[in-house]
Amino acid sequence: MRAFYRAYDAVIDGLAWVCGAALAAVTLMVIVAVVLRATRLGEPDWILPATEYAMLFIGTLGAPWLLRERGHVVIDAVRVSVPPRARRVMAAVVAAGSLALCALLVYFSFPVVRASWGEYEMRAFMMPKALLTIPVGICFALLAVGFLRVLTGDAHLYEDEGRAKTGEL
Amino acid sequence: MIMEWYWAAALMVGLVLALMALGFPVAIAFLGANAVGVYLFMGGWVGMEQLVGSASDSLSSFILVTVPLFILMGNLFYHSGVAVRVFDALDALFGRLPGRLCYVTVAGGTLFAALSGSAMANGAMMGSLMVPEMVRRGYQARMAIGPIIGCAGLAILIPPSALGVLLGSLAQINVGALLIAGIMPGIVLAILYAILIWTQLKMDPSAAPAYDIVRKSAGDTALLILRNIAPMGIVVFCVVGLIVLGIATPTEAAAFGVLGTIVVIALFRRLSWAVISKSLKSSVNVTVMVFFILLGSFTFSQIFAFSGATEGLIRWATGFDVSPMVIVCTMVLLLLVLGCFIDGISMILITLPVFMPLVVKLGYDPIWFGVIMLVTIEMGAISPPFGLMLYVMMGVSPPGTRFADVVRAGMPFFWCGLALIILMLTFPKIALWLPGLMGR
Repeated sequence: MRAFYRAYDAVIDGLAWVCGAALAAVTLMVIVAVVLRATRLGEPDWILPATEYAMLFIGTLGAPWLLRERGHVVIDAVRVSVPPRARRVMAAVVAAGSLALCALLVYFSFPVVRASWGEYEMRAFMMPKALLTIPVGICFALLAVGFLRVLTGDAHLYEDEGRAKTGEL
Repeated sequence: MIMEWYWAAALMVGLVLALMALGFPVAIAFLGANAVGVYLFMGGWVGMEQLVGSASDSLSSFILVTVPLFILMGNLFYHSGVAVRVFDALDALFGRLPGRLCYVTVAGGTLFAALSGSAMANGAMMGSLMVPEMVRRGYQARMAIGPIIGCAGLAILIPPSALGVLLGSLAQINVGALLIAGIMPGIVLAILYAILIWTQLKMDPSAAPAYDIVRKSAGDTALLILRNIAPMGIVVFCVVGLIVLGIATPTEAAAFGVLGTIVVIALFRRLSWAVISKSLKSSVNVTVMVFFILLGSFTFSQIFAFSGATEGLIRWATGFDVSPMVIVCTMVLLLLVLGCFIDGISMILITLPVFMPLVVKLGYDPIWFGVIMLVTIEMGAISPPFGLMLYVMMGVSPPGTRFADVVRAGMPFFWCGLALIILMLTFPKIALWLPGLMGR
């Protein structure tokens, strides 16, 4: 199991790197597009859809990494005010419930991917629709593994004390 | 399933709140409620496929590109340490004014609100910069912590504001106009903070004892400002200037804001791969957090509307024989109560599907109400027991500071926010004047 989790960590770390690279690329692409437009050299029309798709990839492929980093927003109002034993039970319920929900969403992502297979979104370039539905399935599959890890005690969902770490704006 | 609108509303909102209270991540709480909602109201398991399918639609939006870019700007400033030089220059501006470091915090907080889209990055940065210096100078904890608690939240109001972009895009209102509308209220709030600090020090001068400083000549001060503050104008122009002049959309302005920030950091000789790498990592962290909540909540408002809850609630709320202003005040009160317990994004996602259609139906400007919502979110961040800014400040407060001390330090700034809301309810032009100049 340890080897499996090591491989899992490598995958979600790799995806987080992809997200960082995508963010840097998006910044560059938008600047280039505006400069080309302003200088009348002609704005490449693939940039707009490419940046939109990048947002989808960042939001979905980075989520499992963020779960391990305990970066997802959690409201700890009730959790911190109950005795430690009840807190442990609540944490187990949350991990099990989240695992079940993610597994359900993975299950329903199969017909969605199947329906999108071979279809294309006609924008400035032909984007295979499957490339837009597969990341959602991968996201929930990896999240399910992440919650399984929490449920089996190999990882934790919350910071030790106080309100859980959040990345609020 | 056919259900009365009030049961549908209670089920959807109740489920989200119950799951959040149990400790589910906010995004998962929304996904869970959505799963139940689509099953009940949108044709059983077929609805589940729609839920998965709509996930990709929820994030593939050009306006959302603004969010990570505004966050990246704040992180670049934070990780490069350029802020220290700005605060040093501001420090020279205030001379021997009693409580000068408090005013430096207000001025610096307002300036960085215009350079960063993240209130938390601002709070952490100002806390680590200003609190040790103020404590060293004998400032009481409330005078050291309070102004930072208040001013960090200005980033939510003054553009670039990542939350402003989110609110604008979710409410489907003009994002550029909403961002520009936040400028005047942000400045008014900063002035209210300065008046509050002046009053606090009049009542208790020992709270921020005076100390001798080396006086700089007018020429030296001007040079310091020219070197350390003037370059920030590049970033402000890249974001606010390009939007106001109509040269760039908010998204394009955000990309130029990042470019401007990198240029400024390079001018200060603080640009390195380490700074860029750390900033990108922090930005990915916050962006993924925000986007995943959006993915979870995208269908929430659709299901809410589909179940008839939105229409029913609006019919019910407008059916009372009270003035529209009473309804708006009730909505503000509800937002303030929610702000004590949940974060800003969740506040927006839960209330927006009902509040915005209601505001439009009552004949008010959604931009105006959007700014009011941003102010309540800012107040929520400093409201006990779960205002996140209070916890950020606990992390940078002097040893021995109790949570109650931080809350007490922040409360007067909470009342300033309330005063701003009353001013905006009375004089909507505070928010609508600048967007009006844009020809909206």
